[in-house]
Amino acid sequence: MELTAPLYYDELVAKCKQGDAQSYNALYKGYAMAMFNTSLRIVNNSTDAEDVLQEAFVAAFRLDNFDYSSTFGAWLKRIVINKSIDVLRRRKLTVIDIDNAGVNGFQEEEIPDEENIKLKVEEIKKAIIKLPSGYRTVLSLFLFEDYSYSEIASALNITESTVRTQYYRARQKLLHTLKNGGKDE
Amino acid sequence: MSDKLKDFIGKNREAFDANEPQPQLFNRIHKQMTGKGKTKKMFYKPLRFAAAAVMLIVISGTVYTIVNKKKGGDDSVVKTTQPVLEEATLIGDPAFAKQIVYFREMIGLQQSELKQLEKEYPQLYNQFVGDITELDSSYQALKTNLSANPNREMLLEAMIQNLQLQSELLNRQLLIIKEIKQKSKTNEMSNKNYRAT
Repeated sequence: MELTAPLYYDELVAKCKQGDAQSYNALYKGYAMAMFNTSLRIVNNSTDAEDVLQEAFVAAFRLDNFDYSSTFGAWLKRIVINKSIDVLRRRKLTVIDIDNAGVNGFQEEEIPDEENIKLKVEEIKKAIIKLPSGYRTVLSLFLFEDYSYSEIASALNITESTVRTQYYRARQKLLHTLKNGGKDE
Repeated sequence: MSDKLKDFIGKNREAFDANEPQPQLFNRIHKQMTGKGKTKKMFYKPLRFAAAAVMLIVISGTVYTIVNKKKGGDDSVVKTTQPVLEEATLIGDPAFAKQIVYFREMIGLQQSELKQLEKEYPQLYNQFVGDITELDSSYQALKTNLSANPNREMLLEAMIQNLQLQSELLNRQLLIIKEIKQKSKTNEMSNKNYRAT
C-alpha cells in the first residue's frame, strides 16, 4: 500500500474537507486494510483494532489538524499508531515491560543466527503475536512502520536508549521463536 | 547495513497486511461522521455563526421597534422563550441545548416578525404558517421520541437540523414578503408617474 499519496488521494482529501461522502468511502477503501493491520500488530486483537480504526478515520476525515505538510496516508498512520498506543495504555499495561518480559530465559543463550533462519510470513506473524506488548510495539513500529528510534521514543514517551534495548531484545526473542519453529521458549 | 528481516517484511508487506476489518466498519464510521460532522459544520464555522448572530440582532431590533410602536410592549416574544428554556433542561446535554435554545429563540423572533404582516397579506401569511407548522410537527414528533430512543445524539441532531430548516424557511418567507412590498411600491410609483404624464 502506497502511503506517499498520489494526486488522486489529494483530490479525495479536498472533497472530504467539503463533507463528500463518496470521498470518505474511497479514502477508507484505500487505507483501511493497511491501517487495520498496523493497529492490529500493536493492540493484538481485532475488536480494539477496529475501534482504533473508527476513531482514527473519523478524526482524519474531519481534517481538523491536517496542514498538508505530510501526505494524508502518513498523517492517518500517525493517528492510528497513537490511538493504538493509547489502547495499550488504557489496558494499564506498561508499554515498556522489559524486565518482566521473560527475556531471561534466552538472554544468556546463543544469539540466533539470522542467516540460518528461513523467514516465512505466517510464522513471523505468529511470532509477533506472541511477543509481550512493549516488545511488539517497538518491533512493529521499527520494522513495519519505518519509525526511527527517536520517533518511537517520543511516541511511547521513553528514552531512545530504552527503545534500542527494547528493539534488540524483541528482535532476539522473535528470531528465537522462529528458530524453534514457533515455540517461544 | 542491510537488514534481512526488515527487507523480507518490506518485500512481503501485502501478505503481512492481509487481515481485514469487518465490513460494517465503514458504516459505523460514516454514521459517526454524519452525526457529529453536521453539528460541527453548523456551529464551528465562525463566519456562519457570525452571520446568524448578525441576523438575530437585526431581526430582534426590528421586532422590538415594531412591537413597541404598535402595542406599547407585546410580550409574545418573551412568552416563547420560557418554554424554550424548559425544553433545554429536558434535553440535558448542554451543547445541544444551547443550539436548540438559539434556534428556538431565533424562530420565535422570525415568527413575530411574520405575524406583523398578517393583516397586510392574510392569504400569504396563512400559507406560510401552514408550511412552518408542518415542519414543526415533525420537530415535536422527534422530541417525543427523545426519551424512548437510545440514540439520543442522532435524534437531537435531527431536531437541530429541523429547527435550522424552520429558521431558513421563515427567513425566505420574510424575504418574499419584503420583495412583494418592494414591487407594489415601485408599481405605485410607476402608476403615479404614468398618471402625471
